[in-house]
Formats: sequence, C-alpha cells, structure tokens
Amino acid sequence: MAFDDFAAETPDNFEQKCLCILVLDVSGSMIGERIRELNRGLDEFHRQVRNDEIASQRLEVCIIAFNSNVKCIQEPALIDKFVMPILKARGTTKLVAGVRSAVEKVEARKRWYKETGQSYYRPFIILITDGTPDTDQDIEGITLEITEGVNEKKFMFFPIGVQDANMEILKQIAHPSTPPMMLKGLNFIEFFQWLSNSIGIITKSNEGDKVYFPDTSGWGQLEI
Amino acid sequence: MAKHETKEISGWLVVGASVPGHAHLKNNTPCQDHNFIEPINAYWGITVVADGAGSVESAYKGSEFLTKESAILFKELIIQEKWHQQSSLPSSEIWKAKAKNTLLEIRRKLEIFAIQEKTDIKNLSSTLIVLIYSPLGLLVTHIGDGRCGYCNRDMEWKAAIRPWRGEYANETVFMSSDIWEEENLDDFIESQVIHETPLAFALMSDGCERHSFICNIWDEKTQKYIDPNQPFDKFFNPIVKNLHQMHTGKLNYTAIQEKWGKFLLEGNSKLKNEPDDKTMVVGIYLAG
Repeated sequence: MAFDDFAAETPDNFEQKCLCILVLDVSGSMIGERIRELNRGLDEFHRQVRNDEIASQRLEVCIIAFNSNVKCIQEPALIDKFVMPILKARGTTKLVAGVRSAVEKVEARKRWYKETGQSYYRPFIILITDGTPDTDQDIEGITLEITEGVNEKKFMFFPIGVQDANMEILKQIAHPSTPPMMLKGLNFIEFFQWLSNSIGIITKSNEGDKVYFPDTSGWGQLEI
Repeated sequence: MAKHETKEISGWLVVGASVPGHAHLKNNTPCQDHNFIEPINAYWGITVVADGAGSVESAYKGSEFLTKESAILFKELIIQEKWHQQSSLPSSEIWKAKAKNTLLEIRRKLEIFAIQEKTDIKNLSSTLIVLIYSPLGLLVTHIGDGRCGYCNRDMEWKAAIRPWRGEYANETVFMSSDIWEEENLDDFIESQVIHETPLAFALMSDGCERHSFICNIWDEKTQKYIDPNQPFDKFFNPIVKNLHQMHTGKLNYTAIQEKWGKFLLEGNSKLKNEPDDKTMVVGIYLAG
C-alpha cells in the first residue's frame, strides 16, 4: 500500500427518498399545443433526473392527472423504474380533487416510508393547470388543507399556472411561502429543466436549509 | 482548502480534516464544518467535530467557535477531575452529568459569542461531537447528527454514539436549538463511556457517514430498511494500516495532513461526489 493510497472501500447504503408529486391538468382546455409541450417537458424532466447520479437514486416521482376524473397514472417510483406516460387531454377540471389526492398520496407514502424504515425528505406537490376548477370543487377546503399541511411541514406546495389559468384561485390555495408562478407561454421544457435542477439541490440539502432555487426567469413569472 | 488538524503525541497519531462538499465547491460557499484536536498529555486528548447548518451563512463561525471552546472546557474538566491521572474512567452517570454541565457552559458561551457577533444564535447553528481518547477507553458526548466509532483489541469496529434524527432525512438538532430549557433535554444529549482500550477511533460529520458507516440497508428478517450504525471495517482498516505505515515510515505531519485532507476531498468517487461538507478525525493508538 502506498502512502498516498488509503485504499478505503465504501459500503453500499440505500439512499433516502424524496417524493415529488406532479398534479397535472389534462382537461379539454389543454388539447393541442399545451398538452404536446407538457409531454415534451415531462420527457425532458425524466432525462435530466436520470442523468443526475444522486437525484436519480433519491427522487420518487408520482403523477396524478385530473380532468373530469382524477387518476394516479404513475405511482411513486424512482426515475429509472418507469417510462414517462404520454398524456391526453379531455374533459373538465377537477382540480381540487386532484390536489386532495396528492395530499392523501403524501400521507400514504410517508406511512409506507415509516413502516419500511426508510428516511425521507419533506415531499413536495407541484400543481400545473391552465384553467378554472369546476364549480363543484371545494376551493376553501383545499386552501385550509394546504395551509395546514405546509405550516406543519407535511409537504411543500408549488402551483404553476399556464396561459388561461385562473391565477386568483391559485393565489387563494397557495401557501404564502410559495405563491403561484405563471408559465411563460408554453415553456414547459424550461420549467422541467428548472424543476430537475431544483430537485438536484433539494436532494442534496439538509432539512431546514434555506434552499436557493435556480433562476426562474427562463420559464416563469410571479403574478402580482 | 482543507482545514487540517494533525497531532502526534507519543501514544497516539491523530489526524483530522474538514473539506467542502461537492455542492459547496460548485457554489463557492465555505466549508461549514470544523474539527479540533487538543492533547492533554502523552496518552490523553480531546477531539471535536462540529457541522455547521447549511441553512445559515454564519454557521462556519459557530462550528469553529464550538470546536475551540469545547476543547478548552473539556480539557479543563479532565484536569480538574484528574481523570487522566487515574486508572479508570469515570462512571457513566458521572460522565453524563459532567458532560451535560460542560455542554451547557459551551451553550452559554455561544450565546455571548452571538451577542459579540451581533447576530442571532440561530445563525451559528452547528452540531457537536466531543471525544476524549485515552488508553483506558473513550468518553464521548454529542448534540445532533454525525457518527463516531472505534476499534477494540479484537479488531472489532463498533459505534460509540447514535445520531439524533428528526422526521425528515438530515433533520437534526444543534447547539443553538431551543432544547436547553426542555424537560427532555437528556433526549437530545447522548454521552457514552467506552470501557475498552481503543486501537483506533473515528468521529465525523454526516457528510462522511454514508461512505464509512453501514447506515441504511435492507434487513430480510424485519423486512425493513435499518440503520445498523456499523463502522465499515473495509473503510477504516486500510486507513488505520496506512496511518501506521506513515508513522513508522517517518512521514512528517504536514505530509500526513495533506494526504488526509486530499483523501476526504477526492479519495474515491463517492467521497468526491458527496454534496455535503466532510469532516473526519481519526486516531490510532501507537502504543497498542
């Protein structure tokens, strides 16, 4: 053994998990260019996370799509365990039901992490919508749930509006710490590039750390 | 780049380094960890590791302050109690009480330091591990996360402490946390007496743990992921062996310091890609 060679081997430890739930609007208003760009963005997200050695081992992606119904089209899984689905748009906008499903999914996944002894980061929920929720949607109820969930550090919530999105409602349900952002045009690719970079930072941070997210000017703007 | 401590006294060779993690190197932010080595005599000494919270910019000041003050106050404690002149270590109860009082004193000094620095004490947030080594065994106390282990005369590596964890990964408590008035303060301070002659010991910040401890594996028996908190002997044994070779080969301390810091910085791909700051102090018993 040379003096300059400590020759130390490292053990094989599993990585802690970071759950990201994408709650995606696939209602009829997304038909055409919007859904095509969203699908392209998701593919880019998949590619970028897969190329990040640490994020690819820590990030579990879950996809919930909502229109007239709510469906979990991808259960939480590491990025190399699934092929990104191709979304199709139709129907109405059960936005609240979609977000509520994500909140329930967070709790279920955390229970599973605990039952199986896995350590995990604070999960985050990302809502992307281009419309106004159906009239039967309980906006006040989900606002309370999100406020409580974020205040109690159960999860983080990031709402993103696309083109005709009702930003007033997004502002209402968002937590003050993470106000809604408006996507510039249909810059989904730029958004998902930003998201994968942000996840890279989160999965390398300590709980309680101030996380300095990358610049959002490539894809978004804050609604005043 | 690395902040080194290397001390050889006749009974021990102790090396330590604190180096920035990959994320801090990329963002050009300072290493928030510090370490300190303070011999008491030829066979007794103190080593300290502190890991500043990445969420606050001045945490590196907190960790530096804590390592130095801990070395001073724990040295005073040992000299006052004359443990280094006795043939046995203090009992577990006595060590727990004395360590707790000393940590409280360090906390008070941290509060004064925060006032002097005109900053909130939370801006100086840092974990702390203090290890006192001797031929009789080890005295360890800590707040927060990080790991510590030792090798006994049967060449078995054992953990000396267990890191404090919150609900989320890497969530922990700091010396600056609001725990000192809590009735359950003892839940946050772990103090251990190791009554075995150590051939080697190691203490580290959490940036090193996944590379040197078995700490997250699947257990078939319980069908769960578990943290065995087991020092990885294939990591530590080559290091101990190499340090002995460096000592017998008369390699000077500066050279050992440089090699140790370089090893922590980029000794293998996992260490090189570790995003968190990395601190590790290793001691080998030369008279063992």
